[in-house]
Amino acid sequence: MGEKEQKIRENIEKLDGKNFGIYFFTMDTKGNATASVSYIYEVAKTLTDNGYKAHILHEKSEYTSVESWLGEEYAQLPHVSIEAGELSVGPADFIVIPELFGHVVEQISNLGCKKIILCQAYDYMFEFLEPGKRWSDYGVTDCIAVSEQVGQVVTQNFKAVNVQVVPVSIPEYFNKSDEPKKPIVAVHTREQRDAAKIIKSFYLQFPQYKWITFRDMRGLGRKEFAKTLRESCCSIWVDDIAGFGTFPVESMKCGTPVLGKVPNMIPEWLNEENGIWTYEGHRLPEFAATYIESWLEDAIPNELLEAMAPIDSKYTKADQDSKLLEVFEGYIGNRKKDLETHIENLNNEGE
Amino acid sequence: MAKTDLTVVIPVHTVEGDTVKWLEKAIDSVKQQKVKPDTLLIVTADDKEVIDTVKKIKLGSLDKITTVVANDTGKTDFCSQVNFAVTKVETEYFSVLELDDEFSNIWVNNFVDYKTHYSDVSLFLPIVVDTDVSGRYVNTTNEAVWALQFSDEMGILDNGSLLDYPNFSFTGGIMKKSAYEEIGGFKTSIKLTFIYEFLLRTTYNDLRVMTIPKYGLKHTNMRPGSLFYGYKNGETPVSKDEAKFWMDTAKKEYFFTEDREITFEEKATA
Repeated sequence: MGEKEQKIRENIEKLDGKNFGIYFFTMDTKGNATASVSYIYEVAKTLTDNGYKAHILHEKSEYTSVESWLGEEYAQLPHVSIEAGELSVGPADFIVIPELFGHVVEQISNLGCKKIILCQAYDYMFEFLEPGKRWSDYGVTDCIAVSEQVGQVVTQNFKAVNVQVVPVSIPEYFNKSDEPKKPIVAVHTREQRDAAKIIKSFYLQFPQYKWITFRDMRGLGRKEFAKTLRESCCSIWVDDIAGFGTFPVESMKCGTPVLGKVPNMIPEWLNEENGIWTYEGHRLPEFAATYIESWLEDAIPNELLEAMAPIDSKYTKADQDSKLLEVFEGYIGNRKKDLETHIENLNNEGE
Repeated sequence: MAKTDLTVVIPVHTVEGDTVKWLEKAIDSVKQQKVKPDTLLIVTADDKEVIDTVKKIKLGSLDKITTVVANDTGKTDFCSQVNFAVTKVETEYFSVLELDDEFSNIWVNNFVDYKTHYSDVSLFLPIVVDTDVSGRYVNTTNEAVWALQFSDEMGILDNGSLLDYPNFSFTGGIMKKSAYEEIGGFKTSIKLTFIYEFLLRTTYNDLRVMTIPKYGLKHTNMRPGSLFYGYKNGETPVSKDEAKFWMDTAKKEYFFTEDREITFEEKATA
């Protein structure tokens, strides 16, 4: 057996023994709660809990811990910095890169590890890709998408990429309470100025409700976020480029009806009955006033609350975990096949 | 259905104009509650006309509500009538409904829900929708406690906030009888600001006062014949000086449980 074959066999052994690294490239949230990063930590933790060596990979040495908003158990996952030279990968390792970081894909194209794109916000897929370039040009042929719809957009644009869906999971602390709700409106918008516009317009148009509190959910820790959402009488959501729409699902799981602008890609869970949806974002203050009037009179239609209920049993941690493990077992199996094929090729060359 | 442990008190002091019409509407709003109170207690002044008028009211089938008509033979001003009524209350909670006001039909069931979750609250106030005599919307009262940073705790009225912002209403509120008695009830010697003084005293004594964020009461402002209509348009209307005097008095007297004799004397003008 030659030296090359020996090394490949060692990598196959690493794959068999779960003795390899899975590195999730993650942006520094600077301590601000971010659903997309929460997803990454969630899947990294699940893999760790199942015996895999998952790491959070970040660019700079300086990196703000997620402990304040996500919790200690996530902050304690192994972290690796590229700048500090802590990243060392071989053929048995995996690097998972969010779609936004196309330039990172280019930078690491020479590394011998397996590279996978994680696509949450389809809108950012092309952000750093040069025209005409595709992920496969940098050796990426696999993609994890957070929903079937996002996966379809990936497939439309990157035909050679194999897409697997690992759904979003909503933590169990996003749940209902029988405590009476408060006259608080939880606002979540991708752009902060959209939240400010809605709130200012509401107070100008409906001064009789100047006592209603709007809560911009930006910057809240995850559990505080869930608590605020649970006690709010309704929530407002604006995110035109949402890939999945985590916030409304969290809101519904908390029993808090959503008043939302329909995003460009209609989420798979959205239907006419399970929220108050509009294509006209400027009308959200008006819808909020109408909703609040009904809420003050206990006149929220039961049909709305009933239509929200089916989401309770969806997007669970168990569903995400089983799919995630299935997907990674597939990746590992394929990686082993690749390496075995490599050995065969070496042997054929030797003949 | 579980008992609400609630008595609704309607004081009837005098009979003027459309009293019967107003009273019937008030009683009807009690009947229309989704969850019925245990008792409706109508307190009449010791006045033949008042008693005869109340007798004529169609109480109808007040199912699940025990109706008591009590005759107050003592002082028959509003405060005295409420104090008298509370002595007759046999439930843990009571609410005072003025005869020109109407509960919204969700008020009692919201009270039942909130008292389950906020058992330490002694007085639950409704959001009051104030209307003119024609029923047109004027404004709302009691909701301010839910505004951000209005008080130390959202939804809870505290003494400091009340000193800065006196515009709170007691009518329709649901209070523990024991708490009302503990702090001495309404002070009959205070005119005009007796509700303000009472709320200041309630919060000063660390009793928790919460506004349930629901429309609980429709209040008719300035009904001819009403107490506050009389203050403004009666034979001896309250002057600005007197209004200030009663406001200052409320802020001085709330420290004391005892009702002290207080009279206003108009300063002689030069």
